[in-house]
Amino acid sequence: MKKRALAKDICKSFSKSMGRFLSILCLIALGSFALVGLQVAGPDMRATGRTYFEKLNVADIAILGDYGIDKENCATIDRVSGARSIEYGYLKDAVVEGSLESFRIFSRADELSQYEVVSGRLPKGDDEIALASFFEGEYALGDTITFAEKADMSGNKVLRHEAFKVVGFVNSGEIICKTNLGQSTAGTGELKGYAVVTPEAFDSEFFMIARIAFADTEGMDPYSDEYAEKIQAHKDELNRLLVDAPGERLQAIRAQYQEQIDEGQAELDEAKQQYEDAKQALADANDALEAGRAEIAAAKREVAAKSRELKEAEAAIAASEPELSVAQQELTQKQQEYDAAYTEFSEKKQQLAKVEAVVNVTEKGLQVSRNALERRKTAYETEIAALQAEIDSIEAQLSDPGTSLSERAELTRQLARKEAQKKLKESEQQTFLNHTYQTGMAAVEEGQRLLDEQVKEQLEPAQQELAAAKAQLSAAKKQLDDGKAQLSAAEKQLADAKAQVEDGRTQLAVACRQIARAETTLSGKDAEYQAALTEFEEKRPEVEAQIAEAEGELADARAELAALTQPAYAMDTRRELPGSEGYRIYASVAEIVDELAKVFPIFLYFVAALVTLTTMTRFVDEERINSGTLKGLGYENRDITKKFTAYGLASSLLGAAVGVAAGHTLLPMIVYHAYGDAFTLPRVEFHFYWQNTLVATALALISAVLPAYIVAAKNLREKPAALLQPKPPANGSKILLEHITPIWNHMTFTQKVTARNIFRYKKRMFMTIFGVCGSVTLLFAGLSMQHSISGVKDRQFGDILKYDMIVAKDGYLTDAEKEELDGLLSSGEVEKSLPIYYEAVTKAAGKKMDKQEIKMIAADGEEGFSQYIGLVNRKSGEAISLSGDGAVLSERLAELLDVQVGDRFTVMDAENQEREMTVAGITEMYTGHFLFLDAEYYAEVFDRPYAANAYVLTLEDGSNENAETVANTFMACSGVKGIVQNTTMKKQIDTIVESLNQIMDVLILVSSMLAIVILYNLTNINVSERIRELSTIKVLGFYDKEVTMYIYRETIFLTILGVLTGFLTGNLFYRYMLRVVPPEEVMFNPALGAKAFIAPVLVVGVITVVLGKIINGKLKRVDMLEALKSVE
Amino acid sequence: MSFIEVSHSYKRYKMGETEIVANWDVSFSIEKGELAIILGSSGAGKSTMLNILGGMDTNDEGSVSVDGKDISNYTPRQLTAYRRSDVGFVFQFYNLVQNLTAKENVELATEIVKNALDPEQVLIDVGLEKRINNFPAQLSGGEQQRVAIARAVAKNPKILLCDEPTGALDYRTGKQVLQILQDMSREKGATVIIVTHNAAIAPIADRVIHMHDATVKAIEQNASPKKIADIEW
Repeated sequence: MKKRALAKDICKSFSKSMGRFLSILCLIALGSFALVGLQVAGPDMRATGRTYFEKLNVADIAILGDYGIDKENCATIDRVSGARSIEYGYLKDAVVEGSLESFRIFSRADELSQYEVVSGRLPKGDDEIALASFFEGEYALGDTITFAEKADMSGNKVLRHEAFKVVGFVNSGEIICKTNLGQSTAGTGELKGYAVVTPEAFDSEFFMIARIAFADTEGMDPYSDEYAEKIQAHKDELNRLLVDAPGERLQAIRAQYQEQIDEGQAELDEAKQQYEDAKQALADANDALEAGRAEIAAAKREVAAKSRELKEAEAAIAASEPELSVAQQELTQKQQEYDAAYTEFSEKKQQLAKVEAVVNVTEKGLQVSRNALERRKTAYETEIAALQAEIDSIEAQLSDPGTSLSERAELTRQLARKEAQKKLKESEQQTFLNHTYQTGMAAVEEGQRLLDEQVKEQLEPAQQELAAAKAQLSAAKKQLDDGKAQLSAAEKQLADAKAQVEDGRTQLAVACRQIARAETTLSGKDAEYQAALTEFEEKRPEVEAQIAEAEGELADARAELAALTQPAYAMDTRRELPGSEGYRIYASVAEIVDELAKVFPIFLYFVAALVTLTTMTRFVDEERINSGTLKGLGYENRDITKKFTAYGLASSLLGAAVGVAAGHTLLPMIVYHAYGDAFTLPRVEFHFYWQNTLVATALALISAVLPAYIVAAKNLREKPAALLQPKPPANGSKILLEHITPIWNHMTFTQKVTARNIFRYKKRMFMTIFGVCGSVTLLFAGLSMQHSISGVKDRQFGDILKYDMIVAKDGYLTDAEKEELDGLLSSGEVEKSLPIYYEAVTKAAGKKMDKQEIKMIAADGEEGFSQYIGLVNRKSGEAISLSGDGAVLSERLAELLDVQVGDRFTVMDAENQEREMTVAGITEMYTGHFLFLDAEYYAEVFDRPYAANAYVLTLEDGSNENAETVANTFMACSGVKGIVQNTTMKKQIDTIVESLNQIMDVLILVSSMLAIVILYNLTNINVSERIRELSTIKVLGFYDKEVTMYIYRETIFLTILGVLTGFLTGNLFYRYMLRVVPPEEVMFNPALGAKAFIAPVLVVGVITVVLGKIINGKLKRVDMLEALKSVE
Repeated sequence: MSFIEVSHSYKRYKMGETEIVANWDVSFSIEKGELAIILGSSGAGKSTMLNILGGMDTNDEGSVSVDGKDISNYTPRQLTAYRRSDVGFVFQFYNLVQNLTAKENVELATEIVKNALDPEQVLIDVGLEKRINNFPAQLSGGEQQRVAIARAVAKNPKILLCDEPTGALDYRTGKQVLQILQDMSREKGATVIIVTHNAAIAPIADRVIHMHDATVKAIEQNASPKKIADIEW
């Protein structure tokens, strides 16, 4: 039997109450949407991440060494067990030339942590590069990008080229965030992008990164606890393996470094020598030039002298010529005189010769006579001497004893004979002498005397005369000769002088030419010299500077070598890798959604379900007479109930379908939209979660169909006649308030009426309060959350961290570097600065035992410190000062470590040393973990004297752009090791705030819609239940507004109650979210904002007002007569 | 000019395709302080007329002047103001607010007018001094109707309109209610208009307007109206 009429009736009930149908649909849809959506968004996000990481085969652990990873390290790392793949690579931070943008340039990986090519391709040549995809607008394929790489401490650069050709755009599996890429060692200290080049583009002896993927984690959900445990085990093993590596590496580095220094020194020495040589050569050249110049000057002087002399000589010659002719005349005269004297002399001579000839003949005769006499005399004497000699000889023989007697006798006879001979001779001689000899001699003497007289009388005067003439002549002769000689000498002199003058002229000419030549040569040389000198002088400062620089560098290098510390080897999981901020934030966002999903939608669904239930109940009641009629006509209960179940099924299933579908897609999309802009991850994946779908559907049926069925069934147990009567309105009765006379009497009439009505319709009162309360709870919690996170940034970076950046300086600074840094610190950009000790320490804490990065700051002197960092106890608002009693922790860290003031805790310092300290205070802080110590306590804990290694600065202009510029200036200073800027933390906060804000926006929207639907529904029910009453007062002359207010006053009052209770439950809910939602390094500000109170009031207020207008319009059109006609 | 002057009033309703004429060229007048009865059978258009007079409905043509003012051209708001200050209405089914006591039901009306009467006094006047703080459910039909009358009267209206005030009441109670209405006219000088199909009560009126088939058939003036006690039905 077809019950067409029934079907028609059912259909009519749908179309007649479209508002109600839609509101049930909406309630269920909203509930299901929030329920399913929030529950699947987190898993969807993680699934997206997992797919992406698996696709790019992202490494499980990466090892980064401070000084790189050398072959020994590689060998050690290769020993790790269970590795599926180990790959070594390079990386380097560099700024794009002429900008502040810092890139991390990776070497292309073949296996692990590959890159997703967005456009173009991966680099093949060593001058090709692929940039992070989010630079695609800034650069185009084929562009050239040029990097300015900062040389390392030994002056090396690891990139072979500075300019690269852009061949592609890629996404990294390790750095997935676009806005928060972590710290960089270049540029502003904040990483802005990354790029991939071939390994060949690197010129490095060692690797910078080792990537390891393990076999037992392959295909595992990287967000699971199991994965975290496995990775931790591998990490521990690696830590054990690499325990000796730092020391060994340091030694190797030292040796290598020393070699470089030596080389540098040799080069420097050579350069110095060259410089000195050049200098010397120039000096020599100068000397030579000077000498040449002096020579030329001397030559010139000489030439001048010679010239003068020549002139003088010429004058002398000219003067001596007349003298000469006079002398010649004199000489001629003398010659004549001499000739006369000679003639006279010759006459005298002849006269003398005649006399002499006579004398000579006489003399000769005399001589012959004398000679004959003498010869005879001599002959006698000779014969006597011979006889004497014979006598002496015989006497000698006689005197000899040896002579025999015979002989003696003989001898004596001989002797006597001889002596007789002798006496004869001597008598002959005597006769000769007395006669002959004496007369001859007297005649000779006479002749001689006559001759002498003749000579005396004649010869001697002639001789005297001649001698006089001769003397005269020789005197004349001498004079003449003298004159002659003088003249010839004079002549010769003159000739000589002339010749000399001639010679002098020739020489002078030659000398002049020589001088001219020499001058030419000299000026040439001089020009050369000047050129060389100029060049030298020009280059000199440069060369000297270079040398000084080189010397300085070497000195620095030596100092740095001395200051080298052991390198640390960081073992980073995907969550800990530099640049992995994105990975963590992404996971955080997913977790935030998960945590929200645990409470938010359940609460929301509960409210929606209750309102749905009420609506359905009212629907059944409204249809009472209709049902009675049908029953009276003989329809079975089942048929009648069908209407309600069909209605409930249709509306709730449709609603659930819409909600489930939107929840599976829209909410993940909204969440994706919230974080998507900041990440390079692909669009969130949509997965179908049938459990959630089933739960949502079941809940929809439970809240819409079941109550309708139960109420309908209950009604239908009544008699059809009773059913035909409208359900009698609840009777009036005294309410509790009436008994409290003082209050009741003070109430105006309208208030009393409202109070009565409120208590009359208890169920609706409860529903209104509950519905509004629910919406407000969600709104309040959502807005508080937004307020909490929005205020965080201002509070932390306005009131607590007042500084703009921390500038870390190198361990050792040269004087020049010190000067440069001091110059920057005292420049106009910097408002003030304070030296501090800064170190990034770590501590494993939190749910996943992540390595929490803690910024440790130690300072000397409290007064100055509070101008940079305002430590404050959040609850009491009291300022905390640093003391020697212990360290001051940031609040979130204290919470993670579960420590109170007075407790002890440990952290791992930069050299992997555990340091234990006492909590002296806990300071308000929202993002990032901090640890503050005073100098004294630092020295105590670290067992070394306090020495500042950084500065905190506040800038005159603290805007982000200016901070970046200033940071870059500082980074350019060679003494600066790094910059810690707040922008990174700000950005991290921004990302989380942005994501959470958007999710909250959605939830707030959902809550607002829920509030609308609830209020609309309840008001509608209220109106329809009390239409007669409303008509009555309308007839009584109540203005439309008054009519509306008559009923709406209750709604307003209940709404206010709902809002107030909503604040309470909202606060509870908010407290819960504060505990579970924030990521580990972030604390939300638990303070409540005015907005959380005002906005729900406004939202509910606006909804109430708008609904009031709608109801007002509706009531205006109500036919008061129609309602009043019927019986009660 | 009479206090109430209805001239050539027409009222038509559209019910789907067909047009129903409720009033056809209705003209009559009522003087101030009169007790008038509009008499007619069901469907004669008397209630429509009453609604128009009460400012709950408007006519399509013709003029309806009350105290010199033509209410037929009133805007809804003017009509509400008119109902509020000039009209007291008594329904056949009392239409009391169940959640309010007798007094509060009266107060509901007095709260909105300036020169209202004291609610308690009015209730005493209608003989409900012992029922002042009772809820409608605790009152009999007559008592409820008296509360309704008190509510209408307490506003101190220019005209008191009653739609079948005795319709749901028994004979005795009906008489009581009529007495009150007559007293209102006689003693308080109120202009009272009663709509009824019960011809038996017509003699108590100063003026009886007979309606039939949507128009006025006759108007009779009664120089000496009967006392309530003298009539029977």
